[in-house]
Amino acid sequence: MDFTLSNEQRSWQMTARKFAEEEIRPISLERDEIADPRETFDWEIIKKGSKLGFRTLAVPKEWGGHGTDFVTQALVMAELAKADSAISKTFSQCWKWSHLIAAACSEEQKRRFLKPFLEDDTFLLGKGISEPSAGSDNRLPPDDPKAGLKLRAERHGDEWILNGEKCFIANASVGKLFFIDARTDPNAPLRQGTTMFLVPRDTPGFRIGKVFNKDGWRFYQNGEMIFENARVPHANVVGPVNGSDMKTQQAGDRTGGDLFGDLELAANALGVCDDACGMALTLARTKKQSCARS
Amino acid sequence: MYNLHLSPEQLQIRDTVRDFVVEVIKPLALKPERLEARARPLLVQALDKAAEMGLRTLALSEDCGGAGADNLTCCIVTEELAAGDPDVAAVLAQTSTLAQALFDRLMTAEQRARFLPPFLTDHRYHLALAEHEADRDAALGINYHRPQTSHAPFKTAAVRAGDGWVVSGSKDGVVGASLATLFVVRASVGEGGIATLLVPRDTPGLSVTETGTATRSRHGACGAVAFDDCRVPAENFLGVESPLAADAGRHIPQDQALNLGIGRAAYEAALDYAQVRTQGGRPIIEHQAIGAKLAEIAIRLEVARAAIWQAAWASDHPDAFADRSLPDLPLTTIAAVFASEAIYRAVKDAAECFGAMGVMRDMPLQKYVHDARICLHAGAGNSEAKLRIAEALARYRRPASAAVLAAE
Ligand SMILES: Cc1cc2nc3c(=O)[nH]c(=O)nc-3n(C[C@H](O)[C@H](O)[C@H](O)COP(=O)(O)OP(=O)(O)OC[C@H]3O[C@@H](n4cnc5c(N)ncnc54)[C@H](O)[C@@H]3O)c2cc1C
Repeated sequence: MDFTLSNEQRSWQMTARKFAEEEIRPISLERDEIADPRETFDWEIIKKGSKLGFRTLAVPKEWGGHGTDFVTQALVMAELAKADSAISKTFSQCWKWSHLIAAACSEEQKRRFLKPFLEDDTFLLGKGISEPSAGSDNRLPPDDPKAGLKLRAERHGDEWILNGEKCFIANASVGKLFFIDARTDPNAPLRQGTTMFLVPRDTPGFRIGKVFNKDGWRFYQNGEMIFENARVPHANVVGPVNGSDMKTQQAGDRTGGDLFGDLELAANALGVCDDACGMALTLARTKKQSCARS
Repeated sequence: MYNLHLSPEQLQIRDTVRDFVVEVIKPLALKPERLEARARPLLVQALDKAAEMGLRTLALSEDCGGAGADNLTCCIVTEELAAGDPDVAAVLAQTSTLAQALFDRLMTAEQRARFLPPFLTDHRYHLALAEHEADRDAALGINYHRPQTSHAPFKTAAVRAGDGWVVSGSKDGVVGASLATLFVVRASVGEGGIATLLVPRDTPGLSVTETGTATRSRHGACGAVAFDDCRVPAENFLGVESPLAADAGRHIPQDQALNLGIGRAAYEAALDYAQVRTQGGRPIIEHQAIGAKLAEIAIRLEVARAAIWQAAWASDHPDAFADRSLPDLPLTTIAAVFASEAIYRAVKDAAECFGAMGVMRDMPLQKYVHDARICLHAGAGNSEAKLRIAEALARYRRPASAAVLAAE
C-alpha cells in the first residue's frame, strides 16, 4: 500500500486548506448564529469556492470538470470541514450528484445539464428521496408496495405530472437542479416501482416549502419540496422507467444513489474532529490552571 | 437499614409533582417557540406555582416553616421537576437546599429572626450561592496525591471596614443569580482565610449579569454577580465553611437527580415515538435495532438512579459510613461521574430514535442533548471529579482551609 499523495492531490489539499482558513473560518460562527434557517446561507462564499473548483471538482474531465479522484475528494472535504462542516457539505453535495449524473444520465442529459452546471457559480444540485412518512423505508425498502416514498408521477404524453411532497432535502432552497425519486407504479415494491427524474428549480407546479431549523449544520439548507401537478418532460427521466435504482447498482453501488455519501460524511467528520483536537491541544498548551505550578 | 420502599409520603409527593409537571410545566416548556429559541427565559409562572406548593421550602425543617423533606425525597422531587424543565428544578433545589443549610444549621438566632420571616412570606424569595470564580484554580491538579502548600484563595475579597465588611470581586455560574433575593457569598479575608457572608440583592454595588442560554455551563437561571465595594453589616457574617460542601463528595446528589430527570424526559419521548412511528412495516420499537437501543437507555437510567438514590440515602444517613454499611468513598461524586456519562449517552440514543427529527430545533430532543451535556461539566466537571475520587482512594486528606478569623 502506498499512502503518498500525488502532486495534484497535494495541490488540491493546500488550496482547500487556504480557502478554509482565509474565507470559510471567518464567517463560520456568525452564519451559525443566525436564527432564521433560511438566512444562514451566503452566496459569496459559494461563488468564491466555485471559482477555485470546489463546486465542480467531481465532474469528469471529458465533460469539462476537474475529474478528481475519491482520495482528492476526501482530502478536500476534510480540509474544508475543518473550518465549517456545513459550508463544506454544501459544496460536496454537488459532487455527490455529479457522480450520479456521470453514472446514470444519458449523453443528451449530460449535455443539457452539465454544461450550465459547470458555467454558473451559483448552480447547486440536490436529490429528493425522503418524505414525511418514508425515511429509512427508502434506504432499506420492505417488499410491501405501500412502504416507501409516495410522491406520484403519472405520464401524460410526453410529460410526467408529479404530485406529492419531500422533506429534509439538502440544497432545496438554493439548488437549481434536483434528482427526484417518484412512484410510477404504486402497486409494485419501491425498487420496482420508482423512477428518477431531473427536475429544474423553475419547473411549473414545483415549489419549496419550509427550511428545516436544524440544531447543527446551520448553513446547510434542508427544505421541503412541494409538487402540485408539476410537469416534467419525459426527456428528464433518468434511466429506465420503474428503475430508479438500477444504474447506480450497475456502477457497483448499493446505497440508492449515494455513491459517494459515506466517504463524504466520514471525511467531513474527520475534518471537524481534527479541528476540535487542534483547539483542545492549543488550549491545553497555553491555559494555566493548577496552583501546584504557580 | 437500606430500604428501597418509598414511604407513602414520598410516593404521594412524587405523584403530585409528576402531575404538576405534566399539567403545568410541560405545556409551557415544550412550546415550539421556546424550543427553537436560543434564549429560554425562566418559566417564572411555573416557578411561582411550585413555590406555592411548598417546593421552594421542601428541605427546610417543619419548625422553620418548611416541609422537612429528607435528601432522598428532595432528589425524587428534583428528578420529576427536571423531566419538565431543568432550570425550574435547579432554582428550586438550590433555594430549598440553601434554606435548610442557612436557617436550620448555620444562622444565629438573630439572623434567622431577620431573614426567615421575609423568606417564608415571599414565594419569589430565592437564595443563591456565589462561590465559583471564573479563573480560580480548583485547588486540585495532577499532583492530587501531594500535600498542597496553599489553598487557592478567592479573588473576591471581604475587608473589614468599621462595623462591617466591604466586599469586592466577581463570581460566575451562580445558580439562581437572576432572581435571588439573598446571596450567600464566599470571599477571601486575608492570610488565607475564607468567610461566608450574607449579601442581600439590593446592596448598593451588587450587580447581576444573566448568562445566555447558549453559553452557560449550568442549569438554573445562571448568572455572574459583581460586587463593587458592597458594604455588608457585621451581623451578616455567616461563618467560614461553605454552606453546601461540608462533607465533600457525600453531599446531596441533587444535580445528579436533575440530570436523571433530563434523561427520563428524553427516554419517555423516544419510547412514545417508537410506538407511533412506522417504518419497515411496523412500529419502529418492534425493530430489534430500536428495541435494543431503548433497552440500553433504560439500563443506563436505572443504574444511574440506583447510584443516585444510594448516594442520597447515604447523605441522609452519614452514620452508615461509620458503621461500615457503606464503603468509605465519595458516593455522590461517584454517582455524578457515572450518571452524567451514562445519561448523556442515553439522551443521544433517544434522539437517534427520531431520525432526522432528532436534530430539529422545533423538537425537544436536541434540547435534551444540550441539557445533558451541560451536566458533564457542571460543578467541577468529570475530570476533576475523578481526581477527587482518586484522592479518596489514595486516602489523601486535603488540608482544612486555613483558620479564620477575628470576626467570631
Ligand atoms: C442533515 C440531513 C440531510 C438530509 N438530506 C437529505 C437529502 O438531501 N435528500 C433526502 O432525500 N433526504 C435527506 N435527509 C433525510 C434522511 O435521508 C432521513 O432522515 C433518513 O433516511 C432517516 O429517515 P427518517 O428521518 O424519516 O427516520 P426514520 O426512518 O423514521 O427512522 C427513525 C429511527 O428508526 C430506525 N429505523 C427505521 N427503520 C428501521 C428498520 N427497518 N430497522 C431498524 N431500525 C429502523 C432508524 O434507524 C431511526 O433510528 C437528510 C437528513 C438530514 C438529517
